[in-house]
Amino acid sequence: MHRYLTKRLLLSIPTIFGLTVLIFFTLRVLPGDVALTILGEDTQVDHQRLLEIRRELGLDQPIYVQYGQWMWSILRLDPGRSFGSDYPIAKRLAAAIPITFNLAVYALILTLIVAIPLGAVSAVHQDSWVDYASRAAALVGLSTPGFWVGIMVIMFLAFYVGWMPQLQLVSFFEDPWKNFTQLFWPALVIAIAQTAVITRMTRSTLLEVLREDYVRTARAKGLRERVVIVRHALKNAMLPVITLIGLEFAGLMNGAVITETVFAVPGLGSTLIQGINAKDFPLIQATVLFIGLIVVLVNLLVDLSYAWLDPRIKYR
Amino acid sequence: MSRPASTWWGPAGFARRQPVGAVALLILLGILLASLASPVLAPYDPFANDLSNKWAPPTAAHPMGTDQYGRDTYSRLLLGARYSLFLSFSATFLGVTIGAVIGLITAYSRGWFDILVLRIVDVKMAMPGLVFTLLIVAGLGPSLSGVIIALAVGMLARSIRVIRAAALATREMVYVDAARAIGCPDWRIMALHILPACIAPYIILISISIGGAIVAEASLGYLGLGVQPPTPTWGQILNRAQQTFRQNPWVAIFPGLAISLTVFAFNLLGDAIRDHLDPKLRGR
Repeated sequence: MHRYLTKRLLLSIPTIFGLTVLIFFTLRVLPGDVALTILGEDTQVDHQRLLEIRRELGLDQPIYVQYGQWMWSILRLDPGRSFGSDYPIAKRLAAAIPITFNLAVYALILTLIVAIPLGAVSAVHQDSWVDYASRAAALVGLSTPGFWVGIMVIMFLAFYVGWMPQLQLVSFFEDPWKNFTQLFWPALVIAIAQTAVITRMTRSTLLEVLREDYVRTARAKGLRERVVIVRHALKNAMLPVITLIGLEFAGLMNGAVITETVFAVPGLGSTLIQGINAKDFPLIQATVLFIGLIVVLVNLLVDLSYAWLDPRIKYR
Repeated sequence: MSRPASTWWGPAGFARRQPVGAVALLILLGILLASLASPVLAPYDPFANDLSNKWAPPTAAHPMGTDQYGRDTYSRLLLGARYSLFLSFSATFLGVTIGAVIGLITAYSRGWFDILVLRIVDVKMAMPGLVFTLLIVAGLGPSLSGVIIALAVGMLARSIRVIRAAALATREMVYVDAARAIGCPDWRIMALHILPACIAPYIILISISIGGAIVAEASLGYLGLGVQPPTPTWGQILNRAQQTFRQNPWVAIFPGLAISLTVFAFNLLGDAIRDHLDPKLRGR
């Protein structure tokens, strides 16, 4: 088991390294000059200003020096200051990360509460009206764009309940109920798309598990159907579903970026969009990197949890 | 000996085996034709202001209402369909095709190029797709070409993986060995033997990627990072609509319905094509 854990931990290091390389070089490989983009295409190009911007962003240095400087700043947990506003990026990210984390946890809980029972019922009663209804609902959930669902929710709440997205978010530790009510609706919007995916996955893995021999044995032993499904089938079907949750966490982050913008939640997603609109490249780089790191971390935790969940791993 | 009434591969065969997919295809053809015919079909000029009639609810004159400048929403949606569909189709076709070519080459060549590409693909898939697309749009700037390139690059990774897997499987087949044994050059083996095996996965990939591309393009438009106004794309119309929904909720409803219906039809079609072409899934 320890070998498995160490192997997984060590494997994540090249992934993280690769992530920094990918983000760094994507921005630099793209055609077009970053400094020109900042200046804007319509204005007369002021060469002095152009040179100043390039020096400020460090673009006049050789590329490996730029990369080294950036990596060093990341390792020190100080990605520098925003371009233009000089506000320390670390401070901004430190404020945004807990909010996005908060939102993501709510979204994940909402997703799992609905998706796993729905997928299980769908599988157990395959081809019944419940199955068709849930599959249709899942497809609708996948097809509707998240930002539009968010707009519809805001409109509905504004017209019928008089609720507006809050300006000042209350921390979970200050007032858990208020925090939940503030973040419930954005979390719900994110959860809709995720539920669609996880319901489908739960249904298909459970369908496979239900055809296994040990399920037939359990039934032959005379166990009640509910015990067969929950104690034997569902537990084994959960492993691929947990993998999917890990992989879908990336999708959760996608949903968070959009939904935070729709509901004006000041998390990592909003920060990224604001950075892009302000052409604040240091902020953009740092935010994208942290979002990527969070996803890698969650996938790592999922991998590590296998050691606990799947007894077969202990013998590898 | 009687011949079957319609071949399995033909359109009639598809319609018989995948009725839902066939209906979806008809709906999509309708949407496509409507968008192409938008200059003829649109009752009003999508750019014409009519400030005396702003924020009108759906009426006989304006079946979907008007926006804050009095522009007819239905006409703007028709024109927007052109842009949104064009952007999504181009991006999907570009991304999946380039990814397929790369996947084909890496599968056949193996070696350091294969390993390098695979590492890059793995790292890219560790990152949320939309976030990566946003990174590219940030670098390229919001524009038509920027959106197409950003969306296309986002699709490369999955396409490379899928086509590479199909090509690898074919590479191990005996007839490839036989071809090599009789002296067939590499390029000919790739073109005549490996490529045909990758066509079905390629078609499936395109059909399941378009829906996501439409949603991604609309999301970029909504975030203000897509094609810039006054060009109407569905996502961009929704951006403005959110700011003014109290005055006129209808402008926010119809574009979203249009996107959802189109993507839903594409998803149904994609599922149907996959079921039709993928032998492993037949019989489920």
